[in-house]
Amino acid sequence: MTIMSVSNMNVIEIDGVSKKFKEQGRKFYALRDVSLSVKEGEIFGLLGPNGSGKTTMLNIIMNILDPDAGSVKILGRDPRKDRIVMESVNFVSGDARFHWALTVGNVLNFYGMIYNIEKKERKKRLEELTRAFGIEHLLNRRFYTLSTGETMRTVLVKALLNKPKIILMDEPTLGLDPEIAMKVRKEIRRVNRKFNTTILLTSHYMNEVEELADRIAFINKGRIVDIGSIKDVKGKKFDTYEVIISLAQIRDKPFLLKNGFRIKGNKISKSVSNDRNISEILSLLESRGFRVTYVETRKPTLDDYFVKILSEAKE
Amino acid sequence: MKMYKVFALVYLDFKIFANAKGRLAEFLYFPITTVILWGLFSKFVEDMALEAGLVVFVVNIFWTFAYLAQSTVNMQMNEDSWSGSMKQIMITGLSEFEYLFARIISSAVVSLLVISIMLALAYYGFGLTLLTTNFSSIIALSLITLVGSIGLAILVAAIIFMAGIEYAFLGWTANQVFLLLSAPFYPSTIYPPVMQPLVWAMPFTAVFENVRYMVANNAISGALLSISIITAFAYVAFSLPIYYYVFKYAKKTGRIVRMS
Repeated sequence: MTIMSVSNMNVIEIDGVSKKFKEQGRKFYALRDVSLSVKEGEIFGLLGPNGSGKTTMLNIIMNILDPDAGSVKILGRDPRKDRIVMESVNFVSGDARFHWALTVGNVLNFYGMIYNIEKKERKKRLEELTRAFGIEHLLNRRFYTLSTGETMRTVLVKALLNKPKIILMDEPTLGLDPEIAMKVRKEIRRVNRKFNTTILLTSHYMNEVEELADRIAFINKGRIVDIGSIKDVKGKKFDTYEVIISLAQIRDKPFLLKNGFRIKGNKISKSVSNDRNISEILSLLESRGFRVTYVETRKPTLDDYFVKILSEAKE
Repeated sequence: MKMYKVFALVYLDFKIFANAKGRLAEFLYFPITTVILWGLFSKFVEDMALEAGLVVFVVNIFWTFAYLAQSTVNMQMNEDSWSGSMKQIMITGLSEFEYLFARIISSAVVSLLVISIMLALAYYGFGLTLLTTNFSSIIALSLITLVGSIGLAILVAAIIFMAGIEYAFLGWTANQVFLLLSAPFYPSTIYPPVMQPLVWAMPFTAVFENVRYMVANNAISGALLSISIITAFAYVAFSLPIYYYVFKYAKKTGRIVRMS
């Protein structure tokens, strides 16, 4: 049995990072004084609208873009001074591309070599991983001829080849159909649990982040707006949720409206702050002779959080 | 410098060379047809102007070699950008010099192989006996041309990183102007005196002068050889720091990311 463990050790530490770009003679901040840390073994989601600074953040972490201010540490080391630490990191992108003339085997062998994996060990890992991801039959195929699903599986094999401690994922399920996206999410979780690999991911799909991430940071206009566990960040914005009750028959509308219920068809709904409120509501309805057939709750999703936080930012 | 990273990139380059037929054509088709074209020309003018025919023939071989050595370095970098794989390569902890050095090795191996084929064809196909009588001189001039071409390639790489991928065309065009100013088929004195410092600052001027000298005298000039060595290494010494600082600048401004 494998156990996922989130330790207190920070494997990614970003401290006061700022980055300005110049576009059409105008300077703008892509990141402004961003600080965050990602713990060993956790899945961390970086959320934000288009152009919020997520990809800039990833590029700085990957050491292909220098920040104007601040520092980045990977496993306690500064990749700008100690670039070999990047051999403990790998990257998965939804739109990964390689030269059209290369086969899957060429690409994977190249990564095995550039991460200094000895030939025998490289062959062994390639066999294991290609089998695990079901791409062993694709090794002689040109990378560009692969389907989206095959591409993603190949990229995941590439990302695991060097047994990374950290995997950065930029929109890993971008453009995938739901079935493959679900498989990729399953793989992400499996890799995280099996190898205790820390994962930092960006995604536009809130349900994906909600399903995968232990913690999130919401970034907007280059600033971290919120950071914490999904439950905590949602809790800060939403102190109530909705309970929806189906009744056998709607009657005594004045009573229902007086008690703050909204009525729609044979359903009534009300905002509550905790589960105890639901018991009280059910007792109240029972005491007035209503027959409750079904009770459901609708808790705010990360989508609701995303919309709310953006509308607050606009205000 | 981590040599395993360099060799990984060289491996990648050779897989591309082997799988991309267009690249193979570039390495074989153009050099071989160049030798045939100018070999036949030298045969045609043999009775009218033997020396001129040989100069054009041998200089064309060196021209092709210089072009190939320089453009292969730059084209492999361009290909990384065009294929969208530069980011995937750069994030592996690769340094700017490992990235460059790998491309130099790939280019040197390919272009030395190609010039060997060209010289063999010139010798066996067109009876260019000069190659055997001046074998060590030809080797020396080839190596100097290679060093000068690499210096030029580093400079072009720096310009592309500085100006952006829209300037990738310099990878296959820059050489033409440098070769033109290097006075390939005519003496450098053909250019006006005001241009002489520029002409002698070109990486191949002394090489071409020496090729013409060799055709006329069946030996090379020691003085020209020294100038060509100094010029070729000066190009490398001048280009390397520029490349280093431009790469840092490109990393700072996001140019590398945009090229990815």
